[in-house]
Parts: sequence; structure tokens; C-alpha cells
Amino acid sequence: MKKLFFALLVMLLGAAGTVSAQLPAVTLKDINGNTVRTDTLSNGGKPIIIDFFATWCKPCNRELKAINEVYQDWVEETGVKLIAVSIDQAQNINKVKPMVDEYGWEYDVLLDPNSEFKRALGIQMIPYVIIVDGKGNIAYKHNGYTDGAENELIEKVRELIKN
Amino acid sequence: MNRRQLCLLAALAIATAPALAQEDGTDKVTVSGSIQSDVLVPQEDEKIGSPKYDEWALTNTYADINLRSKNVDAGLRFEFLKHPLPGFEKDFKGWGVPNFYVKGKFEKFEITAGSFYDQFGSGFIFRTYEERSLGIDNSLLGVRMVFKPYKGIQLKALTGEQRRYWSHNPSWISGGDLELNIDEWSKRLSQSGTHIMVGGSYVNKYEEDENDRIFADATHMLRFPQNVHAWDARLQVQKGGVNVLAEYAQKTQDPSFDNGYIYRKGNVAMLSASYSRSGMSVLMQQSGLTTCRSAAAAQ
Repeated sequence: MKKLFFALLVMLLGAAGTVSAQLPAVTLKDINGNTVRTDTLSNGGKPIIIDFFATWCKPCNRELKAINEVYQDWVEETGVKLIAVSIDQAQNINKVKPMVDEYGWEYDVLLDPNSEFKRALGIQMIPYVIIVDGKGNIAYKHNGYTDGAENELIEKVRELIKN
Repeated sequence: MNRRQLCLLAALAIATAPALAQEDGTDKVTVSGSIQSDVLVPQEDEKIGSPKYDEWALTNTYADINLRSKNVDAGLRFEFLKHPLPGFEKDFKGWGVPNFYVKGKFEKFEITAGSFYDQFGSGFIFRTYEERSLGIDNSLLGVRMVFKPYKGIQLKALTGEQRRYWSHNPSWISGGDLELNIDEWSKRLSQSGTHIMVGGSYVNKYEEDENDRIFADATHMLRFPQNVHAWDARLQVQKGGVNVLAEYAQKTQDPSFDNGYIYRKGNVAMLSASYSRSGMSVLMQQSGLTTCRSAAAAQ
């Protein structure tokens, strides 16, 4: 019995070693009220940056503000799209769109009030950024934000569009 | 295991890998997981009166593994909280596998058996979630089903026992939620960019009261209701920069130690309206709960 278990474990690890992670399927709404399924997020074969934030998370807001300043340049250069996912809970959820509009962010914003998408990706702390390549595979993950860290993001995106 | 068996096993592993990693994704199985460990090494300091611990290190460690494929997901989480970080409740101590699930995903239907999390509307009457930094995990262990018979219609039904640290509450929770996104049926509405959502939900908690013997005075014992019912209704309208949400929820008598054995029915109403466009926003939100407490009604 132990040998069978071990054999199964080795098979599983063998399988896992050659498959890259894709986005899990969770149904969310965006800030305009449209229903979106996270496993069908696409950007026409170009990379996507998924950034988890909350209205009360100061580093998250600093990061999104910093990216906002260079977002147009990033889009022109690489065609990347940034999707911001808010984990604000039910009563704060109504503050997300006002805040996004106040800062003039042009990102797609999704609402994840019960942290379903966050949990499905195994994320615990925000700010958390994931970069998904053109084929839908997760290529980069990062937790936390320090000033200037967004440069690392655009470097990774440039790398991905070269391949 | 001898060398020949080991070689065969290695060959099997290598042979399996390409078979499962097909590009079209129909047979792909993705394995993902994480380990999170927060460790604290306490230092004794008599000058500030720091508490003494028997352990040389305290840790909250969580390890989870998830398998995902086209139609089936499964996973489990192992928690090691035997020597937890300070600041958590006494019952928080323990270790084991408190969360495990299997999920079947089909075109219009999804079913989960095991531990699950969900929220109805704004979460007034039902919300199960995990917040490790607060030591909260009130997941339900049971069955959850989601039906999407037609676009814009979503029906959820769930039932189970709620987790309380390393055991489950001696009550049974069942509930359902229906949410209609009317703009997905009406071309006129979706063309004008208007989104209308109507939803309603109902939750029931069944708990036998044979174990509780609480006395209001020398001759009167509190009678606890076996069934607690709660329902919620909501309406949301969004168009352009305007967003209005109105939600109301009500609950029948639910006396417990936490609320001082109150017998008043509870209700909450929330109205939220916002207008925003690039550069400016206005938000007004009002919610009210009944706050006056009445003396426990003895029977």
C-alpha cells in the first residue's frame, strides 16, 4: 500500500513538473456591473498584470498611483493591460469606484468581496501582483510594494513580449 | 525497493508527464500550493514584565495544496497551530487538516463537497471567510451547489456545519441565494449601459437546545428557538457614473451568550449611492441596525 501511494505521488510530481499554472475560474463583477470570469481574462495574446488591492491598503494605492503615471507609456510600448482586483468587503465595496474615478485610474477593476479569487490563487497579503503571459500562464508573482518596484514589472513584461 | 523497481517507477513518472501535459488543455491537471509560516522567538525581559513561554519558538504555519483540472478541483489545507503566536483565543490551539474539498465544475452547474466559503449579497446574513491574521475561519463543511441555468441568473444552495477552531458548531446551517442580473437578458438595458441586479437570500440555522440550561431567575429557564431564520433582499442599479444599492435583511430570535441572550428580532437596512467620474466622486452611505436591547424574555 505504501509503495502504491509513493508511486502515485511520484506520478503526480512528474505531471506537475511540466504544467504551468493558469488562472483559476472565479465569477466576479467589474466596477461597472459586468460579470467577468477570471479564467477567460485575455489581452489578445499580450501579457496581463493583475494587481490585488483594497481602498484601505496604502501601499497598494501608492503602487497603483505610481503605475498610473507611466501606464499610457507601458500600453503603447508593450500592449500590456493592468487589471486591478479589489478585495474590499461588502460595505467598503461602494467606495471602490469613487476612489478609482477620483484618482483617474484607467485600469479594468474587478470586485472580489469575499476574496474568492485571492484565495483561489493562494494569496494572503496585499499588495500582490501577478503577471500572466500571452498564453494565460502565470509568469511572475510579487508581494509587497516599495517605491520604484513597478520598474521590475515593466521589465518582466518586456521580457515576455520578446518571446 | 530494489534498483529495478526504482528504474521502472522513474520511467513511469517520465512517461506520465507528457501524457498529462497536452497543449489543448483538456486533460491538464494543475497542482498548486503554498506554505505560510510566521515564527516568533519570545525573549524574556523582567523589566517590562514580558510573559514567559514554555516554548522556545511560537509559530502559525499553514500549508495547502490544490489540484485543478477542467471538471474537477480538489484540495486540502494543513494547519499547525499547536504553539500559536500570542494574541489568539485559547481554542485556537491545535493542529490538523480542517479544510478539504472536492469540486465538480460543469457548464451550468457547480458542486462542492467538503469545506467551502461563500457570501450572500453584502454578507449580512451569510458570510464564511478566512482571515489568517485574525485567526478567523468559519468555513462550512457540507455541500454547496451553484446553478446558472440561463445568463444573468444564478442560484446557490448550501448546507453544512460551521467550523469553530478544531471542531464544529452543534448546529446545522442551510441557505439559498438567487441573484438576477436583468441587464444580461434585456438588450435595451445592456445597450444603454444600465446594470440592474436584484437578489434575495434565505438562511436557516437549526440547533437543538437540549444542552443549554440558562436560568433567567430561580424559577424560569430560557427557551431557545430551535430554528433561526434570516432573509435578505437587495437591489442595485448602475448606469454610467451613478451607482445605487439598497439592501435589507431580517433575522428571527437568536439568543446566545455573545449577545446577552437577547430575544429581539434583528434587522439591518443599507442604502448606498455614489456618483463618480474621472477626477471626482460623491458617496453617500447609510446603514442602520436595531440597537436597543430588551430584557431576555423568559418563558
